[in-house]
Amino acid sequence: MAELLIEMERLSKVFRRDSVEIPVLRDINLKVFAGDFISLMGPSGSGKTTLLNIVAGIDRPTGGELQVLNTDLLSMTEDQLATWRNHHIGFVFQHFNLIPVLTASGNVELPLLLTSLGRRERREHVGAALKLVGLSGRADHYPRQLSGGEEQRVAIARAIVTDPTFVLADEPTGDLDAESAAEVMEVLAGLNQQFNKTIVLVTHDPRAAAYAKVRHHLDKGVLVEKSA
Amino acid sequence: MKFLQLLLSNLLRNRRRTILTLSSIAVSLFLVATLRTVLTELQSSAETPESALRLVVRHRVSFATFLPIAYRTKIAQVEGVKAVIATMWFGGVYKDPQNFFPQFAVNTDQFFVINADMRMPESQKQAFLSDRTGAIAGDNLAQRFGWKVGDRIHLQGAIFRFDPELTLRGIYSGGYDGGSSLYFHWEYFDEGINNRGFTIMYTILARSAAEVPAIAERVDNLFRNSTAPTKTETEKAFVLSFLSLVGNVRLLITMISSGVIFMIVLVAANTMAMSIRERSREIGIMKALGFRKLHILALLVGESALLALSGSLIGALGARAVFSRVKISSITAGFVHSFYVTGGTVLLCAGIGIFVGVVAAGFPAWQAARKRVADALREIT
Repeated sequence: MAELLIEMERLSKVFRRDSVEIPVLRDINLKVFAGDFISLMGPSGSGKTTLLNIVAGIDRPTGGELQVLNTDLLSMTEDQLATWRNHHIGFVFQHFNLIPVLTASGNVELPLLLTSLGRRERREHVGAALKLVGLSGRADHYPRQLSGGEEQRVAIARAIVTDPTFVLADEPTGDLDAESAAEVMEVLAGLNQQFNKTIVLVTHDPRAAAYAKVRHHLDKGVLVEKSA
Repeated sequence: MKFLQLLLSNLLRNRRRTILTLSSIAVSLFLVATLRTVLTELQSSAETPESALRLVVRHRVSFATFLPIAYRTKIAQVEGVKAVIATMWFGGVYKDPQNFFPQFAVNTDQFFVINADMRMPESQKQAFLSDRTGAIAGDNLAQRFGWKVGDRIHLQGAIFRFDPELTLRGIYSGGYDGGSSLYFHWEYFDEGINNRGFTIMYTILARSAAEVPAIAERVDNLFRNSTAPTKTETEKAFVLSFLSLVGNVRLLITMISSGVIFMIVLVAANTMAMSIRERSREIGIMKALGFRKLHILALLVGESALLALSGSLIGALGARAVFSRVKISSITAGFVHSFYVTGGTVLLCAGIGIFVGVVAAGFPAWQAARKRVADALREIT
């Protein structure tokens, strides 16, 4: 039986803008096991990114229960959550979000700066991560010198360099053309199949969602459907 | 150290802005280093063993009030006094009023006893002593006007109706004034002003440093109830009190320096606020990757401190390099003998740089560090 990594029960999130309450998530029940590759699909504004942010400890739910790796994230401080993320979460953002003044290797090394690894060990980890995404030859290139697909692969390398427990990908193919999107999804699928990496993918692109083993649908903050 | 690459990369993110900020800090700290050195040099006289034994006697009321020449004999008899001469400020004009330099009419019989720290060939000393219209000049002064031994020097009296015609008999180096003054015979001066028999001050050489305070008290007590009471003090104290005539120089320089530092804090704060604002989303990414508030704060403040420290070192070391090549004595007509930006001043400027960097980045860095990750990620930059 695979280990239960994420468990949500009746999870909800309400944003407050001045005096207006905007419900974004309503009664979400979801379980993610080790080795899963799940996708959360839905139209814009359906709460996909909010759900991912809550799992990563970047945002907090308004109601319900959440256990991630048997940890009650709601009781942790911001700094504790930051450290926890560094150890357990690999995050892939929609807009790549690479630091423009750092090379590819510099970007991938960023999470490792918070560990106790020495310079040589960090270099080894960075080299391995870039090799995994097929960009060993672009280590010294800056983001402006990379294509969109290559930038996102560097972002994936950054997400996995600390060997996190699971990878959260928020619209990783949102800014890419079809060919680059396929490249990126192949890398994510490879991480799941070859290294049993647990991946939670948020997307509105059905072609990207097709790579997942289990597909959920979010609509107006409610998990309405699940398919394998 | 492992974050240094990140710091440097962010500093060079916008090179033009970084260079402009660095330059403004460098120029400002060049000025601060210069002002501090002005203060240091004005407050210090040439510290020689001989200067520690010299005292100056002047009228208690003011520098500008004369003392009778008859006081010399009485001062010479005070316990502890080894030698005493009249030292009269002449204040004449040499060709052009802008050619200012110190000119003194002095009793020459004990002049070289009192000024043993002046270095000059013995033959020139004797030539000066034996010529009533002879004069000696400091080496910096002679170089300034291109004088050679034997030259005729004509001074126009500005305070007294007497225009001395002098022959340069010697050029000295060293001494408390750093070679920037001219001396001639008091007797020649007195004759020129119709034997009025006064001087503006006396210079005393004490037998020993231990006796200096007692000598000062004895001399002043000697003339306490006379028509021309005296104030006797060490040579260094006299120079410092002269400086106070131009006002509270220390306060003035401190205020100017503080104004300059405040200005560069504003410049650096503006630079850092812009830089941090541009990177709001990146900071959110870093926090999502695991960077804590303290990491973000330290990185941003560290970047600012590194920038300000670099600028301040460039400014302070630049001042040190520039003034090591400048003949300051010539420029200031001997008023300032040397102008050396000390290591202490450089360290002070470095400290100011770090202070500026920390203060400039403090508030925007704190705001960025405490911003919620979700809010930072939503920002469009």
